[in-house]
Amino acid sequence: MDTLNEILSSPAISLELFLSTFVLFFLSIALYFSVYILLKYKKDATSSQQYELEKKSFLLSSIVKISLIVYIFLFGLFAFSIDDVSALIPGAMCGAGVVGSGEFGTSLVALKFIAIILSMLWISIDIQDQKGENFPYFQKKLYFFLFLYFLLFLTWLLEVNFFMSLSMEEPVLCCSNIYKADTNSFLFGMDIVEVVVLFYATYLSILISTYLQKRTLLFFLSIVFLYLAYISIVYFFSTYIYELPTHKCPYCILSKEYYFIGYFIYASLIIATYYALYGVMFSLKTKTQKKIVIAYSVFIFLISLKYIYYYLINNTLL
Amino acid sequence: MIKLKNINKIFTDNNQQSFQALKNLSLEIQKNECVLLHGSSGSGKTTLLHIIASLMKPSDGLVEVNNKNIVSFSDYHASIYRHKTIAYITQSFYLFDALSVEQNLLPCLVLETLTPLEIEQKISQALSLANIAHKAKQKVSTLSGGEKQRCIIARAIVNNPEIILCDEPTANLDKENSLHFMEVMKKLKKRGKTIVIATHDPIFHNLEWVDKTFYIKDGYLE
Amino acid sequence: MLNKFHFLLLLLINYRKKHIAIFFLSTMLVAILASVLFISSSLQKDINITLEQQADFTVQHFRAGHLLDTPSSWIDEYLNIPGVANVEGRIYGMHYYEPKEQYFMIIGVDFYDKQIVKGMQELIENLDVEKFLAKKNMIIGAGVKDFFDKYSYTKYYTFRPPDRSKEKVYIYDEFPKESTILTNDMIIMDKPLARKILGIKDGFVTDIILKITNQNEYQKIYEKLIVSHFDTRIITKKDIAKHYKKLFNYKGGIFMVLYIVAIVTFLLILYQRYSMVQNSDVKEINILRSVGWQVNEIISFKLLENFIVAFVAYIVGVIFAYIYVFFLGAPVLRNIFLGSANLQIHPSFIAVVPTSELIILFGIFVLPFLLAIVIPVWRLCVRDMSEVLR
Repeated sequence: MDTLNEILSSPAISLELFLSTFVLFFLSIALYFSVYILLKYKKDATSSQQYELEKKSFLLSSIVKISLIVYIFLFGLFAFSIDDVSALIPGAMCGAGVVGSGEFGTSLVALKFIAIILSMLWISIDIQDQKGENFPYFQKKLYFFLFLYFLLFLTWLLEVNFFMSLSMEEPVLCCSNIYKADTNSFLFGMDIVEVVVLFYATYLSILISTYLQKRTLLFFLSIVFLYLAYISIVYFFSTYIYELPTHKCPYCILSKEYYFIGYFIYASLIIATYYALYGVMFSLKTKTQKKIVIAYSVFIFLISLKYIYYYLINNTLL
Repeated sequence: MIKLKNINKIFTDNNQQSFQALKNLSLEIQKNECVLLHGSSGSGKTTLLHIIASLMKPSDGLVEVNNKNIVSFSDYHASIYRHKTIAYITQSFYLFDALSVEQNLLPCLVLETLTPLEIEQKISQALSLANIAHKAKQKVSTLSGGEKQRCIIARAIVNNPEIILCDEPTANLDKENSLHFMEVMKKLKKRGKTIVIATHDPIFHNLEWVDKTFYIKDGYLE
Repeated sequence: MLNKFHFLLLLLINYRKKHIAIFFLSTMLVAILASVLFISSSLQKDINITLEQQADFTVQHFRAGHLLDTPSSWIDEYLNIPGVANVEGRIYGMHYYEPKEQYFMIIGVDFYDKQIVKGMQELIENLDVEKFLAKKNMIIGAGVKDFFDKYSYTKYYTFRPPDRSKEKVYIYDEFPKESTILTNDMIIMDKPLARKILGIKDGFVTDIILKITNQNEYQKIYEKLIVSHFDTRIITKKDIAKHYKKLFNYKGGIFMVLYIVAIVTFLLILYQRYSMVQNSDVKEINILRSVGWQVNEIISFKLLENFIVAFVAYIVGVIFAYIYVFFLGAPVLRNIFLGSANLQIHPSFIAVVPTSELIILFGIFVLPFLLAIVIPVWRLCVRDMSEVLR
C-alpha cells in the first residue's frame, strides 16, 4: 500500500492511469455499440436499415479517433513517467530499469506500440468504408474493433499491474545490465553487424516489394523489419547516439540529453509500419507507394544519421 | 433526371405503431422542370422531398438522380450529394441569428477549398440573385420574415446546385414576399435549375413556368 | 481547413455567451492546479540549488539507535581516503526557547576556513570577519529575526548552555533574502561559541561532511566509509535528493483535498458541457446537416470548438497562476506547502516553469473535456433529419 502511495504520488503516473481508465470507459461504450450493430447486421438489409446502423457506427469512429489521440499522448507520457519514476527506484537510472522491474514491462511497451498502429489502421478502414459503395468494410471493421478493444483492454490491465508491481525498495538492474554489453548473439547466432546488414537489406526489400506491389511479401517484411529495427536500435544505433559502445538502451534516447530524438525515431517507425500495413490492406497505388517509401526512408535517415556523422567526424567506428 | 420508382416509406414510432407515409409512389422529373407537389398536410409531400434530398431513405423502392442510385449512399456520399446538388428551402428560418447575412452563407462554402476572393464572389452573386445584397452586413436577428427567407434562398443557391427543393416556402410569408419568392424561382428556372415545390398555397396555381403538378393524397400519387 | 477555422472563430466570437460559464470555471480550476504546480516546482528548484551545494556524504556517529557526538579524530582518517577532496567537522544543533516552545538551529562556522557548502562560503566572502569576530556575534535567518523582534530581542540574545552559564550573543546581521527556505530558522556563529552553547566537548563534532573530487568514484568511497567504522550512519546527497523528490510529489492529505476539489469541479464542468450541447447546439448542428456537412465533420468541428475554449481557458488559467504565485507570493495556498511547525517563513518563490507538469495538467484537463462531448454531439447529429427540418 505504501508503494502504491509512492507510485501514485508521481503526477505523471497518476495522470497516465486516470486517462487510460477514462479512455477505456469510453471504448467500452463503443464496444457496446459495435456488438449491437454486429448483432443487427444483415447482409441483405435494406438501405434504410443499413443507414440506421451506419448512424450508430459514427459514435464508434469518433470514440476510436479521440482514443487514438489520447493513446499517442499517453505513450509519450508513459515514456516520461517511467523515466520520472526511475529516480525513485533504487538502481534504475532510466526507463529501462523501471520497465525491466515491473511485471510484463517489456510486453506492455510492445503492446502499446502495436495498439497505436492498429488504431491508426482501424481509422483508415473506417474512412474507406464510408467512402466506398455500399459500405464494403462494414462488418470487417466491426470485428477488427472487437479485436482492437481486446488488445487495448489487455494493455490497460498490464499497465495497472505494471505500476502496482513497481517497488521502491528492491534494487533493479539498469540498462547496462539488461542489455548486456557483451551480448553478441542474436537471430540464428548472427552478430550485431550481420543483424544491421540484414536490417538495411530488409529496408531495401520493402522498397522493392512496394514498387512491385507484392502485398503479402510487404506484410511479412514490415513485421520482420519491426523486430530487426528494435534490435538494431538497442544494440547498434543507440551506442552511436550515446557515443558509448557499452551504453545500449532503447529508452535513454527519449531523454532531454539526446534532444528527445527517440520520440522522432519511434514515431517515424510507427508511421512507416502503418503505411506499409495500409498498403497491404487496401492497395499499393502510387500515392500509397510514395508514402511508404518516404516514411521508411525518414526512419532510416534518422537512425543512421548519428552513426554516419560519427564515422565522418572520427574516421572510426565504436 | 429525378426518377422515383415504387417508393414506400413506413414510419415506426416508439410504441411499435407504424404509419405508411408513401405508398408505391413513382414519378419522374426532367432536368430544368418546375414541378409542384400539391396535397394537404400529412399527405406525404415533405417525406417525398426528404427522400429526394437524401435526408431520409425509403423503406422500399428506387431513387435515381442523374442516373445515380442515391438510396445506397453512405453518409459521406449523401452529404456530398446534398452539398453539391441540392438546395433545400423550408418554411422555418434555420439561420445563425447572431451572424450577418453574408456570414450565414459560409457553412455551405467552407466545405470546399476556395480562396477568400472566390468565397466573396459566390456570396455576392447569391445575395444579388436573392435580392438581399443590400442587407449583407446586417445581423439576421434584425431582419424581417421576408428578408430571412431571402437569406435562406441565398444560402441555398450559393453553391449553384442543380435541384432546388422547397417545402411550403411561402407558409410564413405575406403576399408581397410570396410574390417575390416566385420571382426568384422563375429566375432560377431560367438559369436551368430543376425546381420542386411542395405547397398548398393557391398563388402557385396556373403559372405558365410550372411544367407539372403532382397531387399526393394519403401517400398515393393521384 | 482554414475556411472552416475562420467560420469556427466567427461562431465562437458571436456565440461567446454560451461558453462564458464554462470558460470561467475552467480557468479557475486550471489556475488553482497550476498554482500548486508552480509552488512545488519553485520549492523543488530551491531545494535543488541548495542540495547542489551540499556535501556528498554526511557521516554521523550512531550507536544503539542513538545519535552521538562524532570523534574529531575521524576527520584525519577520512582525509586519507583517496578521492576525498575535503572533510569538515560540523558543529550544529537545536537550541530550545522554552517559554514559546521554539527551536533555533545553531550552526558553528570556522570563518577562516574554506567552507564545503557553497552558500556558506559566499556568505563569509561578503562578511567582514575581523569585525564579526571582535565580539560574540551571530547572523540570523529571517524567521529568527521575526521571532526576536516579536519578543524584543533587538540587539542581543542570551543563550543558556548546558553548563548553566550564560552567553550573551549580539545580532550582527540577517541572512540575504535570496533563498530563505532552508536558512529560515538558522543562526550562525563562531565555532567555539556554538560548541559552548550546544555543550559539545572538545575532540568531538556533531557530524562530519565530505566532498569528493570525482563523482564516478562515489560508490567506491561510500563503501570505504561504511567499513571505516561500524557505528556510523552515512547520509548521501542522493538520499536527500530522493527524500525531497518524494516530499514534493504531493504526498499528504492536503493534496488529496485539493485533488478532490479539482475532480468535483471538473465533473461539474463535464456535466455542464454535456447538457449545454443538448440545448444550444441543436439548431447549429441542424443547419450544418441540412447544408451538407457529414456527421464526422460536425463532430470534428464541435470537438475543435470545445478544444479552443478549453485551450484558451488553460492558457489564461496558467497565466493567472503565474501572476498569483510569482508576483503575489501565493497568499493562502503557500501556507499549505510551507506550514512550518517551527518558525513562520515568508519566501518569495523562485520563478520556474515546470513544462512537463504543465503538459500533464493540459492532458488531464483537456482530453476528458473532449471525450465528454462526443456522445451528446453524436446523438444530435444522427437524429432523423426529417424530424428536424419540419
